Amino acid sequence: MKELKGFLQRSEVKAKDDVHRETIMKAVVSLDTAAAQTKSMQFDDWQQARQEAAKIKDYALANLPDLLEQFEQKISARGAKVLWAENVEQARTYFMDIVRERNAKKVVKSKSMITEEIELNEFLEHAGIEVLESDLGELIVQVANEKPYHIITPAIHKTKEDIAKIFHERLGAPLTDSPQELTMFARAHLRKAYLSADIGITGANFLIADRGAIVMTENEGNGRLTMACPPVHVVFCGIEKVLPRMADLSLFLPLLATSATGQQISCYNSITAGPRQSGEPDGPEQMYVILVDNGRSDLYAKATFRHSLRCIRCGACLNACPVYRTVGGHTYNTAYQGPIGSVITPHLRGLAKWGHLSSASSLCGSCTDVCPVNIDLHHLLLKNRAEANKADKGNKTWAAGMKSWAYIMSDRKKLQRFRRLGRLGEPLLPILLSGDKRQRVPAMAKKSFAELWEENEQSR
Amino acid sequence: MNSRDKILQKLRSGMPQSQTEELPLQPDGNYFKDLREGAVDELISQFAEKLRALSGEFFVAENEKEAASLLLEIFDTIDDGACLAQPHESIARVLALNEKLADRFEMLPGELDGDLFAEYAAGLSTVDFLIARTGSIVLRNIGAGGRRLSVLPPVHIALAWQNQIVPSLDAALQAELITDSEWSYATIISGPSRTADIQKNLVLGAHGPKQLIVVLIKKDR
Repeated sequence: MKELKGFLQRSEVKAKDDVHRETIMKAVVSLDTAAAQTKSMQFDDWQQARQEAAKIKDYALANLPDLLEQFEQKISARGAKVLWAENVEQARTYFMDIVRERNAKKVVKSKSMITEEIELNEFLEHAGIEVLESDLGELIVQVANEKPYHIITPAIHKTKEDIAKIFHERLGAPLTDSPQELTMFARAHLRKAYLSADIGITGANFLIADRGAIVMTENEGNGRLTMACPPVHVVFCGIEKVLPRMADLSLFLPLLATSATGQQISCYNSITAGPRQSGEPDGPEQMYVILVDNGRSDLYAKATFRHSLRCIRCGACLNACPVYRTVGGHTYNTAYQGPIGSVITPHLRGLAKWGHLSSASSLCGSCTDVCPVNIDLHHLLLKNRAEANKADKGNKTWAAGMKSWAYIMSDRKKLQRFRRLGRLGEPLLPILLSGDKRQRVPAMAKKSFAELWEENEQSR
Repeated sequence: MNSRDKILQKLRSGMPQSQTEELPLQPDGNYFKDLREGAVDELISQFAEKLRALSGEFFVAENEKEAASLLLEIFDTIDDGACLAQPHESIARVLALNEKLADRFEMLPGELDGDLFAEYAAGLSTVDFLIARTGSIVLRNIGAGGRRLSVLPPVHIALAWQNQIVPSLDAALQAELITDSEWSYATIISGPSRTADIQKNLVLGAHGPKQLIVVLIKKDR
């Protein structure tokens, strides 16, 4: 109930905030438009491409344990260490063991959603380890002491004036709202961090089974520097991110870039298959890959919901979602916002606490339309609702309401009788239907369609 | 049971009963509208168009001697600081073709401390492939002087030969050079570093190179 109440309170505030709405709309519409243009410019047949991508992902999921073992075996042969974390605590503990072994004080980090999921930054700060986010958007939200607002563009809700103020007050940047100058300030601010950090952390967009490699997509180059300079490279990655073959990237990289940012392909796509090998000029001495389960294997076991694990975290469903556009990213209070977050969070973190997210949808299906791996998002939201209601047996009012509804709808005569009754009680309807004073219930028609039909038939 | 085995066992018990999923054939670029299969000149012109659209710079040299003069002109446009070059025989060969180049670059030593590395203004490397369809270059750390040379200096200059150009990414990823060699890092680069994290305004040179310059020699390597 606490999460539900918080969601409602936060949406109330955000929905009425015109500046927020304008900032978000401008950004998501620009992302949406770019994606649509690139789809038709680049792809012969977008529908076919996403169906193929879904098939490859389904194959990977059907063979997930085998492919994970293949990945582990191949990358271990090059000296990387693969660690398997069942839950948040274990993932953090593995990392702290590395910190202790290396006597590390400073960590530089590139953008990774799974480290948001396990709230690694907060944990490390408590442990007295300095963590510096290197992606510009992530740096902005870190300095503002906030959580990311969007899977792809974490600072989507900040205007350049907001960022100018934050950088000036917290980092001592000269006061300027020029995006060019703010970016150059961030560049200079982070340069030294790559060179002085004890550990570099990255996420991974894909794990490649046949090569034993992690793939990371980015535009800024902060990820490349994070994997090139510090003596240790630690990768956090969900267990569902496997692709069977390296060649699958020739479809998945353009697909991801198109849906995420409307680019043909992202600026840098790095395939990292181990730490520095003997004879190589540079690179980290050690590489760790921490594979995180954290509820994914439970989701995997549910046949109906399994295909949500195809997700490549492009953020397109957030951009398309009328709910996300209105209430914004923080309202969800989850690592993954928007439709995909509402689909998976109840399974990863518990239906009782997070089931309400499934109702934060108009079921319009825009999310399903834009998904590059064909996840049936809006139907999964509907199925989540059914599960949430099943789990919520304690709610007697809801159960009684639903029973009466089923009774009335079971027979046309019953429905007509109820309508007549309804007309008598019309003044009570707004209270009965919503209990929400802001909603205006339209006046009931004098006659129902059925009544009009009958009259019409008789007068013929 | 350790956590690795627990996770794998959980996945195995949750796996779909009927494993009828078939793996689609190797992606072959058939999804793409802008795929060109043709003479090398056609691929070069597509590459040039795509790279320039990404704000990358592109120059063609008829031979290695012309490439050396082009490099001299390029070094002249780079402000202060020296260029660090990949110690590769083909690069050494080109750089030796113009004596004025000698004091404009240094060969990357076997080990170089990060702080010193960061003082160089440009990095000169070879590439493994040029991809015409997307204007991208592909390089492996073992073929391009390591992980830092193409990302740490503010300018990245890539020297390429015409037989390195391929129509699309799948051709590069399935080439023996990539599949049959041992390397720990490969990257597909498409233009200079960029960001649009501030209200979707495009800014070049976020953390990686501010400039990407590709010099293509119209000869086979």
